[in-house]
Amino acid sequence: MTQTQTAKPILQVRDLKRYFDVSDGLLSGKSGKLRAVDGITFDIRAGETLGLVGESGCGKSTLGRVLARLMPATSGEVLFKDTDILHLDRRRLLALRADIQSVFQDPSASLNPRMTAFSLIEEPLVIQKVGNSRTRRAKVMDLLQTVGLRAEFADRYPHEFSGGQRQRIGIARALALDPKLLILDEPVSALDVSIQAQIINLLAELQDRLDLTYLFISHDLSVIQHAADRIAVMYMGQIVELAENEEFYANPQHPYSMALLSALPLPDPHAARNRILLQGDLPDPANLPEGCRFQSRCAHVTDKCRMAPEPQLEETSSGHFVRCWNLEKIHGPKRPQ
Amino acid sequence: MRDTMTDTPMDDAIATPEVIEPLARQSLLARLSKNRLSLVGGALVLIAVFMAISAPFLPLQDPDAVDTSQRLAPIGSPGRWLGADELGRDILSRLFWGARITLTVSLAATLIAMVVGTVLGLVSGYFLGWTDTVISRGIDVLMAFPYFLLALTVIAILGPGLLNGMLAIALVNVPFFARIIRGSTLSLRESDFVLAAKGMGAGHLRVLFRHILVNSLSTLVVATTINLGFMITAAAALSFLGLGVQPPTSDWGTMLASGRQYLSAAPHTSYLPGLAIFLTVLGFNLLGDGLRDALDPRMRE
Amino acid sequence: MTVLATPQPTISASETGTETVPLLEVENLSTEFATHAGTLRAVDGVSMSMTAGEVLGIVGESGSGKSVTALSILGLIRAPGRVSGGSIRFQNHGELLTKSASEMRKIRGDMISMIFQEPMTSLNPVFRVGWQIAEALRLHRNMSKAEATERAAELLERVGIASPRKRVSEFPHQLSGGMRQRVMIAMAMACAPKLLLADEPTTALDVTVQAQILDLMVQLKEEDGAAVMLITHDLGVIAEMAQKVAVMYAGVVMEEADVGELFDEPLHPYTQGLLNSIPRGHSRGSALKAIPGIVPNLLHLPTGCRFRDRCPAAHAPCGKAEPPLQRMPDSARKVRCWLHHPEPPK
Repeated sequence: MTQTQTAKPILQVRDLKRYFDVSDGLLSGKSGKLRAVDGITFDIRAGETLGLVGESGCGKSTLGRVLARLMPATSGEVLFKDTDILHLDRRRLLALRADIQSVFQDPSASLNPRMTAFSLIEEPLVIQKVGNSRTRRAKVMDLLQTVGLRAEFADRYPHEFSGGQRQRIGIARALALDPKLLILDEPVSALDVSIQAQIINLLAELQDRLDLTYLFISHDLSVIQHAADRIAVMYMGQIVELAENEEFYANPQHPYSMALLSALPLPDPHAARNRILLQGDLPDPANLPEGCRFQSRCAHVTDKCRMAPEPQLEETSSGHFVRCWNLEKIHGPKRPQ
Repeated sequence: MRDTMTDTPMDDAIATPEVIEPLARQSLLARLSKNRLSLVGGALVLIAVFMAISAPFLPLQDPDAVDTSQRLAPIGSPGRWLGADELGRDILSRLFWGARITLTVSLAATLIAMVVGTVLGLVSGYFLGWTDTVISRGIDVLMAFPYFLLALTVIAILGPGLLNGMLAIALVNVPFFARIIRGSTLSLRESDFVLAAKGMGAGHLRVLFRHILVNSLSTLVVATTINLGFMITAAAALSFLGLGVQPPTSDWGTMLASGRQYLSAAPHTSYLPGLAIFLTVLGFNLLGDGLRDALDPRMRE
Repeated sequence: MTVLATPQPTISASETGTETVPLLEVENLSTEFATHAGTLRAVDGVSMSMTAGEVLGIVGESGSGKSVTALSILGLIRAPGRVSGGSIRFQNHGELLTKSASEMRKIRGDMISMIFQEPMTSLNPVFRVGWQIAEALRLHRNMSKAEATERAAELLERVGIASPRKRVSEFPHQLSGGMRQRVMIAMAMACAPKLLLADEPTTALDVTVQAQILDLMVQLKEEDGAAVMLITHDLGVIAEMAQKVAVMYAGVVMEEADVGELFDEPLHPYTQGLLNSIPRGHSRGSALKAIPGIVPNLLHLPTGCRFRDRCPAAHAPCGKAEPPLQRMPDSARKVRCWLHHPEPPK
């Protein structure tokens, strides 16, 4: 995992935007744009796990869905292995789907309740017309074993499995087409603690064995700390900080990242708590303030933050990107690089 | 040691195999039989179906044989156990043969309405946009007509008769199915498993039939059963008005109509077919309610 | 009205001299649910006690019976479920299990109240939030409509909602998730209850909002001297909030200890497993120590210890009999494990 530093990017995202039209009730007639993903730029390196964290409504799931081509983008560019994936014809899009697969948060919602485990795992192979029914059967049985499910479970329906087992089926079908990149959208959030650990281990093992690249979307900073090589923090549709794992947890720069980390309840009753309590709630995403989007909740807000233009994501030290005007005020003068 | 997942990836599986079984697998019939009323409904439906199927094989009198000596014979007359109508025809035999017509017409009409309504509902709920606007407004127009007026209009255009009557009541019931299926399609198209299927490259046909329709099937079964009850009333009503089955063939509706004139002298000539209609419709409704409870996933623990 | 006879909210437990007496004593509580596959015992002989002002954390995975325990205490178990045995004594009100439905209604929302996980579904969408808070006050305090509404605004202010006079006339959907949970807390605290049952109060919230809500709960508890039963699957929340912890698994308490003892030296293999399976900074790059297997189906529990088939330390006695919740020598902590029992079965 250490050579990820030099590995070339498998996915390049450039100024990606996804807006939704919103209308404020039937009668008021007010309408606006909800900027769910608003100018996202980053790379995912081959073989790494990029952790994408943020609170609900920050746009992380929308971003995941746009990257998996489950939702169209409003503008921007996404290159998968140097190919633009936002403008593909039907045939090339179908081929791309084999390379980028998703694992969803709630396996009881993402598995068709009327299909058996076997047909669920076989479905991607059928859709992509891979092999014949005999080779597909062998592949499905192989996949069941890969994710730690017994072959005799193949004929059961999703509701006959436990939550952890259902997520294993979800992972198996995502793996069926031998993808290169998996978009993991809160893959363990719906699971109990003990089962969560099993699935995290399984994902790590599969990554090593099958040479996978992960975009790991989660709201849980502990899970991300364990699982990700690099961390990107999203707030209101933008990345506010991006850094290597150790660097991020040791030295968070953006006031939002600092608040997130300080709010994390630690399983240690003796831990010293220096909580930065954020004021207020999230701003209305369809009606964002001028200037920095975090101004209404930030403890370090200055006049500059309230004025356009908003701060940009800038590299403060090697590989560490932050979107904030007041880094020197908060952390003191820039560290020598 | 079993303390890491990596060593024994099968652990999650090993603990469970026998555990899940008893909760999950319980047949529809077993769940249905929990509800006494739905058993009664099922029995009534079975009796009607038996009558329809067995009519040619039972030693019944010719339903159309006129015998003026037996005119309006009361219940319990020798050779005419349920009496005879105004032309002396055996009511028992006519009920059996009438069941055949009544059930066939309503079943066929229901199937036509179901197939057409389901396709319209799937297409409009899935594609939305102008497709939905056109279909939904069409359905709205159909529904704006009073039920019977619509059926009468169709017959006025096509002329009276068994087949046209069937088409008329089928058309009247298309909106019923279209609306139900459109509703479930609207919610299912947003479900994660549909999204997941699209993420694998599944085309519209596959999503519509393999994912959305299959998950609407239990709704459809219930709707069809309940609709059958309604169709029987509708078919009988058309025949009652002389717009459905034409003489000499007769179903329960025409029997009811012809018995009406002798209501005081020989009430059994109308209340027997009336009772047959009533019990069969009740049977389908009870069965439909029972099916709804048995198929509702929320009722399954 | 009898409502007048209930103690006034200003009198705290310590002033009435009840602090040495346990506030709540649950003994051998069992709650069953009839399913078509058989009778399922969701809570199977749970005992616990709480004193005034204390925070008892109940931690467990889904199906451990932690929520059913709370609902049993509130008398909110409905058919096909029923409390099948045991006793719940509450302060000077005595046995709760023998109380009539109307007597329980007087205690609920007044002396004991509950905060649920999902504030959106626990608030009635068609009533204004002020009205919903005022309802408890009018019911239990016999306040007039105007008084109750005024008090509702004060309560909203107390739980940190800005411009409370405006918010009282809003509907739940106009509030954010964090604010809705604050409203729930305001409702629960309206009559200054002696005991607050909080069932996953922050699970549906984002971490930054969770931090605010946890802070608020600590503050309110200290101001009112209420005892809090905090039910959660999150050991981090337990470590921050609780003084005492009960670890539940498949309907029974596996271990009960002070929070420091439990996290420093977990005795039960299940507690150890839970703590080990939490991802932390230093676990990176290695596999997490997951507990193998899944939570057992309560209809098909293994014989003997119910954790046996997932336990790394399972040995011969574990299959013979279920271990009792045994008090450890020279300590208040209790463990349900043959490893820590003086006389395991041969």
